[in-house]
Amino acid sequence: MVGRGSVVGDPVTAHLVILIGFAGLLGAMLAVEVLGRAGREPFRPVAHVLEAALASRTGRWVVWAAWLWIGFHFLAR
Amino acid sequence: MRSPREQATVRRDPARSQRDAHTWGVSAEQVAARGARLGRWDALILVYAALAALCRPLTAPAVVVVLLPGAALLALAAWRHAPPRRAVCPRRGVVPWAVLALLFGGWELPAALWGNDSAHPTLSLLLDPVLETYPGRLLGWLAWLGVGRWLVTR
Repeated sequence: MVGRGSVVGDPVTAHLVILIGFAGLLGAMLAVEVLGRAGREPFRPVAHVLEAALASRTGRWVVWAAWLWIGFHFLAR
Repeated sequence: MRSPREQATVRRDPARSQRDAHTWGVSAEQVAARGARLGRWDALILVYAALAALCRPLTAPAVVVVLLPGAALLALAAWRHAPPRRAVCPRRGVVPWAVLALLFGGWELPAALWGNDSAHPTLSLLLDPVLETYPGRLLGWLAWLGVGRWLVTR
């Protein structure tokens, strides 16, 4: 697009927006993990959160079901 | 009575064995035995991942090789009857991860509902080019089985 005051470049597609969203979420997860490991409040590493979830019977089943689903979804489908 | 492998583990790093024993409230021998077991798990996971990664996704063998360790680790986790642990994470420490998980679901769902095509890909579709290669699948398998092993030991 060329014109007065406009920006030249590729159009923003849904694919690009989705890709940026996933990258942003991944970056946020990494940031929370790093802050948790550095001891910054209120952040905790994901391992601590999972251990807390595993302390209850329901939490155990939810975590195990999520693990099984991830394996099936990404490695088998 | 320590086995030769346990003696070797304690001899190799006695300070770590004692520190772990103090942390977990178990004897140094138990810590050493646990270390030896983890070594065997590592080898087993490596071999299994190398073989399982030979199976391409969307095939019957791929389903079987996922279900085998899945069922085995689930059974092991159910059989272990680990004593209930005190939650080590305050509720407000859970909030950031819960928010991120919800955001991830909220981001994945529209793409799935819009057809999960190249214009609106889900994460699994975006990872397809990586998982189509053997090294990519091997990494995926190692990560998945490694997390499974970690969950069993909790």
